[in-house]
Amino acid sequence: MIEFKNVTKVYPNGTIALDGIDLTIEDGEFVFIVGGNGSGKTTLTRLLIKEEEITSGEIIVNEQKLSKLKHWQVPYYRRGLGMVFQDFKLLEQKTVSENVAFAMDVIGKPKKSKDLNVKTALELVRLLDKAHCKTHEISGGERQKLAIARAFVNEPKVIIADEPTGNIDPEMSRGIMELLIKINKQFDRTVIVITHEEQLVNFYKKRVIRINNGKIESDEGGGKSL
Amino acid sequence: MKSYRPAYFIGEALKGLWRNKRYSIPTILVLLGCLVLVGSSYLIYENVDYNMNSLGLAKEIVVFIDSEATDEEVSAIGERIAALDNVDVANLVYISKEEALAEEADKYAEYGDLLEVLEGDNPLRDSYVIPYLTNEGVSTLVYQLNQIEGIVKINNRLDLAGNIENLKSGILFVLIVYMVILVFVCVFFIVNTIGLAVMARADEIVIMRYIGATGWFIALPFIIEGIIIGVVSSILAYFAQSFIYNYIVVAIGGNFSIINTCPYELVQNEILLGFLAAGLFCGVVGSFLSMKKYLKA
Repeated sequence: MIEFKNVTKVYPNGTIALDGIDLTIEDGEFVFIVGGNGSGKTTLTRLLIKEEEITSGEIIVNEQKLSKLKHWQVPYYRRGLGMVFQDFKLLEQKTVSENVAFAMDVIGKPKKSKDLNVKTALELVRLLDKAHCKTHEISGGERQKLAIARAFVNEPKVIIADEPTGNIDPEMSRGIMELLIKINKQFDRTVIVITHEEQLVNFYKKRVIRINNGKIESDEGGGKSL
Repeated sequence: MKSYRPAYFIGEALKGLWRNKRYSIPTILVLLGCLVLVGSSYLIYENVDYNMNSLGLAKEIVVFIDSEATDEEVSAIGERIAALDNVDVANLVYISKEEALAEEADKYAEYGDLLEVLEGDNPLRDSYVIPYLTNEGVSTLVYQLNQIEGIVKINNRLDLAGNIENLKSGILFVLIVYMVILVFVCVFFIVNTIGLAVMARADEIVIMRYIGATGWFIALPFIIEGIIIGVVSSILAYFAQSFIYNYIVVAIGGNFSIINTCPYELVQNEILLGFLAAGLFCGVVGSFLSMKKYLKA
């Protein structure tokens, strides 16, 4: 479970990015976080992955207070989160399978389980036939699928996708969303999608949290696997 | 179970070095140059010491015994010398006049007939070679030796030895100053080289951090990169130093035969170990400084 308790973030230049946010996301939920530019949704993500420190309040993830985490504990905390980015953040000089395997190398998984997990993750995103292609040889949509496979391979409890469809065409965007929903339903993972694409959000009828000027404007359609 | 493979880190470090060769090769050359400069100063110091010893300017005094003294008196003088302060008793050496003559005969073997004029008479005296412990107490020691009955001559080259000791101290001082300055230069170059390698892989590092890589996982290939730069520089510097030194030894041997040059074999292990230690130190410190913020995060 993820809880934001009266979370405020003020940047050193005085900008109030988040202003007393209260929010609970249950295990296995699928949540859209939407809002315009400067609304605070990116700050919310950065706080959740412990890239930024909160000014006041508390964020609790799986009963772990993020403010109490020591520097050295942050990487281990992040291993419980799978991150998907708008710009994919792939290693261009590596192949599709190497990109996925790299996520396991980083946390020191043994080779035996690595091979199996990489295969499973690539099967899930239907990229097994392109396992040996370099990342620049695959399309934008496939690159995002690869990023999802990498986020999923270490079996994190939470997947956070920051504008996952921002760099791909509308048709492929649906494919990406279907994939995230499949991970949510089939593997019971919590999925948080940060986006500004209202059309996409309206299509899937999931819980939608709207942020505006650092505050929660609305929180609709709550509940698990609607 | 976690299994971080050493081959991964070494492989990444080698790839990084190759990718960053425009900066890593000049850094290796700068380190090599600095190490050879320090090594040359050390070799000058060692050669001064070597020449001091070969000229008999080591920390020792030679006393000659009255030729009329009996064997018992000579032994008694030896015991009195051994009882004095500042005498390195363990290395106190007695040289009988027969041994001294034999040594001279060996030294001038090519003029064999020269000693025949002595017709069995030995003009030399029994002597003691007295090594001393500290320079400070030498004057007192010489005074005390003068008081011992039966000692007719005391040989010490305190002035010359003192001057050469001063020269050695000067060279040692220059050597230390060199080392400090050059360590700063080397560390500066390595910090910059590793810094550039980090910049070249900035995107990869960002990805690693999001995936949950620890600071050590991110930093280790760069630290190994620094160590490789240090070790490669040390080994190359060792061979360069050997070549330069032997070249100079040959030149000195031909033109200044009065100077004895210390054989490289006597100091090569110290040079190699010193270079490796300095190279490793610079490599580790330089790369640690570059990766400090990643190790903290």
